[in-house]
Amino acid sequence: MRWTLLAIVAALALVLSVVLGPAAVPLGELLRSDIVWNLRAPRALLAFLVGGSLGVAGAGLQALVRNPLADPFLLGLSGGAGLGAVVAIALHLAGPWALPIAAFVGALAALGLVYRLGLIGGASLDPRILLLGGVAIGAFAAAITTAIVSLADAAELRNVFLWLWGGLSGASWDSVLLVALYAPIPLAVLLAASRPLDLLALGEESAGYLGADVEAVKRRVYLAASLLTAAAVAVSGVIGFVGLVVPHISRLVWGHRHRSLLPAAFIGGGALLAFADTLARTVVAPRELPVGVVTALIGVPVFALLLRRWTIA
Amino acid sequence: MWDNPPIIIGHGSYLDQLAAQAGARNVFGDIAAPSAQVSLETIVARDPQWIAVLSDSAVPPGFAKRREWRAVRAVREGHFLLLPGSLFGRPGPRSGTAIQQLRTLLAR
Repeated sequence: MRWTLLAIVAALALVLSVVLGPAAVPLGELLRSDIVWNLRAPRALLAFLVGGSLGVAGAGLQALVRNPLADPFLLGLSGGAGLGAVVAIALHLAGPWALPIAAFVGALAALGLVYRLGLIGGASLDPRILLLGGVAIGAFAAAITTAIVSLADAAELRNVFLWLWGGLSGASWDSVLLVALYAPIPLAVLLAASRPLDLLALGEESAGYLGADVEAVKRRVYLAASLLTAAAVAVSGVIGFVGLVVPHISRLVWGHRHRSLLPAAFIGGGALLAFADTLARTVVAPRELPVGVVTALIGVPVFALLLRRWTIA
Repeated sequence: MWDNPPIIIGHGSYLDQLAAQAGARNVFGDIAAPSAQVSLETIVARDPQWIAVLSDSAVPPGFAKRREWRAVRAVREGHFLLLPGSLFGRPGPRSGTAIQQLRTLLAR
């Protein structure tokens, strides 16, 4: 029943994002329209894939660091990606893929630094240090980013802030294909770690006694979730709150078993982002809002409601 | 215009005024902000004859090759007005020269 409902919501979100848009396309011409095929359809699919990836990455990281506040971008990736993007623009790197590649490289650099910090206590990855390291590296990257923006004279730098708030305007069949080929690998790694992630909720020591290879699982989950997020930020900028709110809502409905929680977070995250992007494109048409603004405007009230429910319960 | 995200110039911006002086009409002249982020499909729907880009290079901007941008007719036809930033980027005594140059470009 709840799966059927989720499937209906997801299908509805996808259909709406193809049917609705700032340009008037008559319903009869929907299937023949260039706007629908080359702009709305890839954008809807990219939104779904990115939202789903963020939902799963968030669910995985929340289980890993055993902290309900964890979000795919909390671990410094947004700062790294932003720095990469700003450097690409300040250096006038040419080519259609310069910005996404630079953002991806920036996110990977932040990932590497945070991972190295996480290992600081020895061979064991410490989730608390991962969190602290992520916040610190993110702040450091943001400081360099701001320094570049305030010193460089490229007029385009102003616009990178819009890009950083997230947007799917760069969507094309190429970017959909890229994400569709890339994302299944980290997604499969996370899904395969479902059982040990369940055990991790009991604490690392207990999980170890129950047969989980805690060290390997922590590394695998951290790397897979971060690589998933790095790809998402490369194609769509920093889209907040999907990776924070969707896992919590999914947990309320599907419980704490990751074997069903992760797929639910994928479909739910995809539906939420497809829906948010439709709003971003249409609410202030012909203008457009950064989609990160819409997800935050939807996400924060939902989050407040959840917090209230938790504190009452 | 800037491509990622697509940002256009609206009513009353300096470039909008230059275009009007040169006898052109900004397809986004109804937007009451100097610049605004829009959806790509809005640009497709408004179907501009020319796309003005502040650029010091002589070749069309990189996004012209991207598949999603090919949906815009002016992009497919290579109708770009590449305006050097030093002349078109800010108002000044050379605004007259800028208008004249824009007229010449449009007359081609």
